[in-house]
Amino acid sequence: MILTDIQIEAVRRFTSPIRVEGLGAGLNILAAPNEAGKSTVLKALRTVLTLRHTSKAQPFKDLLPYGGGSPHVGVAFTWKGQSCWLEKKFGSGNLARLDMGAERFDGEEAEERLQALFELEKISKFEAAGLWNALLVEQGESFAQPPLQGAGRASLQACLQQNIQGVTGTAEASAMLALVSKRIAQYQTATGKTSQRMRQMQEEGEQARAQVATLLARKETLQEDISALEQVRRMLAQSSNPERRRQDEEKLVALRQIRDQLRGLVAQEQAAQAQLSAAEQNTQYILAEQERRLTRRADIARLEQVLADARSGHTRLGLAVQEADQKLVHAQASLKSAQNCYQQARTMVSRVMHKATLTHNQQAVAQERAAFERANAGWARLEKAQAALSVMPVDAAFMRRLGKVVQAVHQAQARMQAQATRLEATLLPDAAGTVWLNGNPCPVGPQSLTDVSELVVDGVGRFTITPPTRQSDALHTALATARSALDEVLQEVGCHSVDQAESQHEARRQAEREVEQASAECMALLCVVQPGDIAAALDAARHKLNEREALFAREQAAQADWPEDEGPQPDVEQARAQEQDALMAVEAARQYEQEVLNQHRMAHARQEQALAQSAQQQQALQRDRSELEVWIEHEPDPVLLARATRSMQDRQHAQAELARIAHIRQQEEPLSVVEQGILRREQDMERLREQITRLSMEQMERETRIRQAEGDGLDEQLASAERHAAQVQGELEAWERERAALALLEATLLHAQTTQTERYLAPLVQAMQPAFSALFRGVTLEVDTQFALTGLTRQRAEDIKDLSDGTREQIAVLVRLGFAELLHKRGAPAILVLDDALSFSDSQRLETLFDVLSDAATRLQVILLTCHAEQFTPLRGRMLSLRPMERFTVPS
Amino acid sequence: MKIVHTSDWQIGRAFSFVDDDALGALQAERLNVIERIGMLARAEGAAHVLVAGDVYEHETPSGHTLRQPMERMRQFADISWHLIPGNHDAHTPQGVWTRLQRDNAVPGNVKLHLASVPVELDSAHNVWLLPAVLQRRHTLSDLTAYMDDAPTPEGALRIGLAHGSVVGFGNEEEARNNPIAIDRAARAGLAYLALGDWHGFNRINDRTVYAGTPEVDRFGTGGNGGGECVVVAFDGPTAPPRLSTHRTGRFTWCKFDNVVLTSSADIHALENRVRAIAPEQPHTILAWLELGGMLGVEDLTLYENLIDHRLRSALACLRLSGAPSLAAGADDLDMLGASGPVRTAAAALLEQVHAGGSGASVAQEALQRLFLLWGEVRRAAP
Repeated sequence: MILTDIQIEAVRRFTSPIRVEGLGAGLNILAAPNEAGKSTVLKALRTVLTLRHTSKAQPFKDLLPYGGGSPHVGVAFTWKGQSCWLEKKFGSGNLARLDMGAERFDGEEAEERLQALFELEKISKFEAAGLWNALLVEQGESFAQPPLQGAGRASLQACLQQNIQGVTGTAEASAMLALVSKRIAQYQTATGKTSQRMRQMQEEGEQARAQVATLLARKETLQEDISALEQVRRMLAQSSNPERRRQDEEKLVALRQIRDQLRGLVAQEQAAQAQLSAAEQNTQYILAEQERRLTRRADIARLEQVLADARSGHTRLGLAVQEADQKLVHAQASLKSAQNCYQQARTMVSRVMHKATLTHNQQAVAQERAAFERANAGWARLEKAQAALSVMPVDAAFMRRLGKVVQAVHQAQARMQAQATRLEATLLPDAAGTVWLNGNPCPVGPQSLTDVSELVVDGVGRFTITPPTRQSDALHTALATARSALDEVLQEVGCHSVDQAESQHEARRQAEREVEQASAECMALLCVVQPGDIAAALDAARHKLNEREALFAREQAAQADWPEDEGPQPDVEQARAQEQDALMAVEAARQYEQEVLNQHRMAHARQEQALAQSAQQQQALQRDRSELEVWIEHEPDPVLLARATRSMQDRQHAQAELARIAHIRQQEEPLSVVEQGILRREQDMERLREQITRLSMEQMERETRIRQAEGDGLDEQLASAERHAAQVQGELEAWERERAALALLEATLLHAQTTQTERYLAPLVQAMQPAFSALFRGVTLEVDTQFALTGLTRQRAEDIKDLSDGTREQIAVLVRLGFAELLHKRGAPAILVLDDALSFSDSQRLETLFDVLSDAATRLQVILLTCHAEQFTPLRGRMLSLRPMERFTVPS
Repeated sequence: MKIVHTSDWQIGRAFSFVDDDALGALQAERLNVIERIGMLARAEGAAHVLVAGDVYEHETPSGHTLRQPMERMRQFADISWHLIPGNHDAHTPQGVWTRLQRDNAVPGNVKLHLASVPVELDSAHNVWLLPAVLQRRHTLSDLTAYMDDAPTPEGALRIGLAHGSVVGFGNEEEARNNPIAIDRAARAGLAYLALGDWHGFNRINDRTVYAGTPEVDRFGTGGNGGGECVVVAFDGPTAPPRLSTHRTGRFTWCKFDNVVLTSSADIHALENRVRAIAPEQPHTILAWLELGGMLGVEDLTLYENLIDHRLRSALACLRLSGAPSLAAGADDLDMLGASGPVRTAAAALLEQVHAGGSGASVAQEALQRLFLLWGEVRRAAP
């Protein structure tokens, strides 16, 4: 199919007829600036193919001209060697006309033929769509892959099925999948989750099992109630037996009578027991009284004997005390004598020690005096040397300064000498005194003449020698200045020459050494570290020495006051030995005195103790006698004896009464036993009453529960619940089997369909592959069942949506080109129209795309609408133009 | 002197494998059969109906269920109904019999025998009934033993009535509980020992008989079928009783074991066999088919239609165990077309079936559904 002419009238901006000129086979390019009407041409072309001429829908409105009128579009094309003309007018005076060779169709017939020719399908009352929508690419559509409707897919499927023989069953597979999906939806959702129906059944199963468990528990409770009720009834019948109750009550009455009798006996027994106890207590008291009186009398006799013995003992103790007193007086005298001897020995030691100390101090003072005198002499030398030093101005600093000045003079002289005239005179022995230099005998040997000199040789004449010195005056001035400076320096210290200065400097150094030596000697003697401290130290030493000498003088004077000893004076050791002996004698005397004192104290203590003991015994004797007299006065001995006899009689009587009661009680049970028996029976009867009440209540409760269960028909409910649970479980299992089978079937069908589709899509991929390979080296394509390119693989798999805008546009254009190629191969009408596409492609890709489009244009017509004329110049296609025309003209 | 001997009514029994409609019908029929028994007694001139235990299915039925059979029996005032407990409704404390007595729900013509002591049945004919009463569901002692020494007047016609398992005719396993000596009738001088517990009619000897349940309630009924009552005619205390069985059941329970289906002829034959049980009243049939075999694709569709749909709708209950497998081969795939995803999927599933293993059964089911759905798709195709 080749478009050869497009005429447009009253369409949007084109109020007057225009024609697209230059259309022909191959590549066509309509390059025009913006707002020139390129997109309007494409919209008109698309509308004339897909919109019925009777339509008033939005596409029609989109075509309406700005100045009013009825849109009118005509398209001439060739198809299978015959010329065709399609013309439609929309709105007022609408028409449709299709000429195919000699045949002409008008109105609806034209529309039907048109749809058949271009494989279009109605998508609304007036609008149709098909693969052509993908081939006429309006501005902005080129970025996306074409969305295909049913007719578009059908066209492609027709292409694909034509290319692969024997592909059948896709519709059946889809229908079967739909059925399977519908059935499986009963059991699971699209995401594989359990369906609500299935969940309800599962919940019902859970509830049914829970109901069974509840009923089983209730049945167990019922069984327990029934068996418990029987037991309760048996116990109740046993507890409520009237005969047993009567017997229990009679027994209780009898026991209470016995208890009362026993209680009377107990009272009698208690009275007899009290009587017996009183008699025994009285007897015990009387016996104790008698015993006490007897004991007291014995005590009085013993004390009287003891006091008699004590009196003789007191005499012996008095004699012993007197003897101890005498011994004590003697011992104290001995101690005093020893102490006096010791004191004398100590005095002697003190004197001897003091004398020795005085001698030692005398020597020390003499030594200190000698040292002080040496220090004092050293100090005098030091002062003398320092005085001499102070009048010697030539010190080291001066000598350094002098050295510099002398050096300056030498340097000036050296510079002068350097420019002096050398004169070496060698005189004959006879010439002495005949040659005169500057008025003086001319010396033999070399001479340096720095000034104008006059050499006179007697007999010969006068020679004036003028040295050839440069700057002679300056040198002389410098030398004179240096010498003047030297003189000034020497005059500062009163010297006339350098030698004199050096002699004075040597004398100063000698004086400095003397000062150092004297200072060192003084510091050593006075123990100071700074020379400046010497004077103060010397004063301090003098003062200290004076004090010590005064002290020593006082000590000597004190010694002169001591009395003169008779006999030889002992030395220190002897004096100390005598002192030690005296001390030991004192210690011995003191020990003896202590022993005697102890004996004295003991004698006195024994005497005092004996006297105190005798006094106590005397007091005890008086007390015992007084108490015994009081007792006898209160109850004389005969009265006490009579009372004892009566008490014995009362005791015998009480014992007889108790024996009688014991005899009676032997015939009966003990009261405690009887009372326990009564208590036990009373408690039993109370428990029985409580048990009957409790059992009656329990019986009532259990009967109520059992009646309730009976009324509910627990077993029937249980059987019904079990049946329901089993049915639900069975149904669930059946559903699960069905779900598994359907899921497997669905998966298998899907897999088969996918495999089939992949095979089925192979021609489409094959058709697109060359163009893609030209643009993307080594690429492989992935196309889904909706004919959309979902990915491509270059170095790696890439998702389309992850690619750049430019690449995605190139891919979308190539996909559309692939569709056109497929249609063309099938022999169906196919062209490709791109409006303002590929604007985002880089130059290299664009070149390749131009090659691809040029190649495609050798097989089908390709029309490019662009506002970038220069960009598409390399394509070398037919250049189209929009030409106004006088009127809409049907080709002849 | 005639009596009607029956047992094992088991009122209130539930059946797990039937749907709710069939369950209602089956339960209702277990009550309706009481009327047929009453009518039989009248027709046979029997003044007494002996029910040998298990009147009730449950120990604690609802009050409604408890009273229903009593009311049915009340309608036959001219008939004396003699009931003893069975293992399902043993005379336990607070059991059904206690409840009936406590609630005054027992009609005058219904005699509950709750103690194992001789009871005069017919003074005119000097007939004495010796009931054996189960006090609990299971007992290891022979409750009919007392009959040996139970005193009755001289020349009395002694009829034993018991519920349990007769020992010694190949049912040792069942006879461990509630045993009954096989020669009890002879040892106790019984003219007849009317027994219950066996759900099918079973004549142990001339004087020892299980009547069976009057309305069949299971597929594997012991004895020679069920759904019958026994009419016993006595000519004297020592003369052998004359027995006649009478059908009282309405439903027919039938189990077909090991049915192998390999062709359409087998399918048709199976349907005919089942329908032949009650050709006029297929809705009274309860059939249990244990199926196996392999069917081709078309035969499987036929099976689905005839057995699973048509026959199931005709019967009161159709219980299926197992199913014929799909015997699909490579040739069967041709019906799916020469190529296409459906055929490919079928071939894949068939391969899984042939491979065996755990997934084979699911693959088999999936393949069956594929062929069934294929039929639907083809039928729906224009």
